[in-house]
Amino acid sequence: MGDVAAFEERRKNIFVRFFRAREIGALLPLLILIIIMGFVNKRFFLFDNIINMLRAISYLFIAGVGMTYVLCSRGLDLSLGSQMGLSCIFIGVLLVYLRLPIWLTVILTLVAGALAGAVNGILVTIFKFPPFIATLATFYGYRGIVEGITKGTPITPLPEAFQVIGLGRLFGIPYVIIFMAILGAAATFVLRKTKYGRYILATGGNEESTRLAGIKTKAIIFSSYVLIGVLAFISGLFFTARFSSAQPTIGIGYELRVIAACIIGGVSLFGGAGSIAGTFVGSAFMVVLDNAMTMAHISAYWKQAILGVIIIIAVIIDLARKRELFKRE
Amino acid sequence: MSDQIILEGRDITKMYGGVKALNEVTFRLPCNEVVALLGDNGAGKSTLIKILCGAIRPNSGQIFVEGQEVAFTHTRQAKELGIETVYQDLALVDSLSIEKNIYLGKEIVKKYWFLEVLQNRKMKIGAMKFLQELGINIRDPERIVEELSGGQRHAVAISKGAFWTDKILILDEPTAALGVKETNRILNMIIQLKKKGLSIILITHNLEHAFFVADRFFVLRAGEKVGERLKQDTNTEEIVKMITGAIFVEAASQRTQA
Repeated sequence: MGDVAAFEERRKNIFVRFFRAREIGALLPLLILIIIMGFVNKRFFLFDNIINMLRAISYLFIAGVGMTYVLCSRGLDLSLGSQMGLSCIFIGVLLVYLRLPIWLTVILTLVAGALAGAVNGILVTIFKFPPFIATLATFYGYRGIVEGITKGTPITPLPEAFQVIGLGRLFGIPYVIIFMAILGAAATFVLRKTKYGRYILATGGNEESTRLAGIKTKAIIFSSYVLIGVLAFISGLFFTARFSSAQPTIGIGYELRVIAACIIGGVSLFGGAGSIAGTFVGSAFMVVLDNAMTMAHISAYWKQAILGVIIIIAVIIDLARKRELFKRE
Repeated sequence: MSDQIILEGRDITKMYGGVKALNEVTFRLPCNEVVALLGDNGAGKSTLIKILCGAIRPNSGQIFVEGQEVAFTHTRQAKELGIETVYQDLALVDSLSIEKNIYLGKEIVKKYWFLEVLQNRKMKIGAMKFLQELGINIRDPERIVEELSGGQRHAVAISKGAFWTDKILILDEPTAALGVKETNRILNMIIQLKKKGLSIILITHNLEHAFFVADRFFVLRAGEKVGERLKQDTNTEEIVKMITGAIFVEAASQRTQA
């Protein structure tokens, strides 16, 4: 027998292995940023500031988990922000106009999220739209519904009991942060330790090969859009519950922030690779950078330019991972 | 070597529109033999194996697996009967590791109440054992397929097919686009699989490869069976004649005259 089709093993050096870990691209800069911020500004490490940042991270992350699944299966959801807006207005209509009880509103919101996502899923899997086109259509469609219903004015006042979801705390920690932690753990488990997660990654890696292995790839792709719909609506729910009114502007531009967080966190735009931990690091990076730039009095306009540069760097790292940069002949 | 036929396609005819891709072809795979399926482009090789592995249905004809007549409507049924196919494009997921590819769609899980949890360690060990059995020297089954060389990818694809059957393996051009050294490794691997007791159909364009591993040659031309030869009864020259054929040459010259 001997060395039939011998696989020569090359021991990658520690530097290469370090940079090959998906989350690392953003973790290192994130830590550096946090340390610098700690030195520059004493208020940075205050409990309230940390809680505020975690809260901001959680809205990004909750939606980001959905986006991670969609991107991993080689999809894309541009309608995420519009779905968040739709969630907000849907809640406003149910609570203020229809005076439904809060528990029923929450359940119906989850169902509506699943349906909003299912529309994308149907367009992509049954009508075979490219994800970009399908979700661009619903990006406009859902935002149009939001503006059509509200005519641009907020729905108010939301019942105070509802705001408990957004403002309530358990042991001093806001519910949304606790939800984020549970969701993060569950989503990591599903992605790494269940068939569903494996098939999401396999479908994103090569749909045809995965189909040939007997896996219903269309169902997998469809489900990822339903999932992001539900999570977008949950993110919108927590966001809405912080205010006394349902704002029609909620979620505008959010899809791009979430996609940026995922990419910075090492989720591949080309499908088949990504991690929930990476998306958390990416979301945290977005928020801490925002916080840092605010404290450094950098104007909102320039913030966007800096974010652009960071996304370019993140994608270069993603490409480098895939291509020859870290490979030796 | 027994004379028992493990897989047989009898009088298989397949039409594409008005064109006969296969015309009453009878193909037999004897148990524990390597049969090279030869023929020029468009001779019907791919159509024949697609029918034998359940990917498409013939217009007429019968298929027998171990003497039992079967009617495949899906590759899954063929797989259940122990017929695995390695396609020319390998059908690997590049972004997944070797062991994840081998187990794709058939993962080992442990059930906790309603939760099915992947047993990654078990699968890693299972994949590694099997690869070592085939003489594939690999320390790290967690390597991503994308990082492997062409020959290694072929080896993984063939292992993936062989892992799930102890009966019939269909290989569609397993040595296409490989270098000399890598080709030899794959050919050795095929011999190894035969020793393990598999019966193998090998599609190839390369007669040298066919003569190296196959026991028997089956030649198709324009959807018709030209002939079948045992290795000891034939030579390269005869097989080349069977593949190209006088009929083909005549048809070509008629076309140029017209």
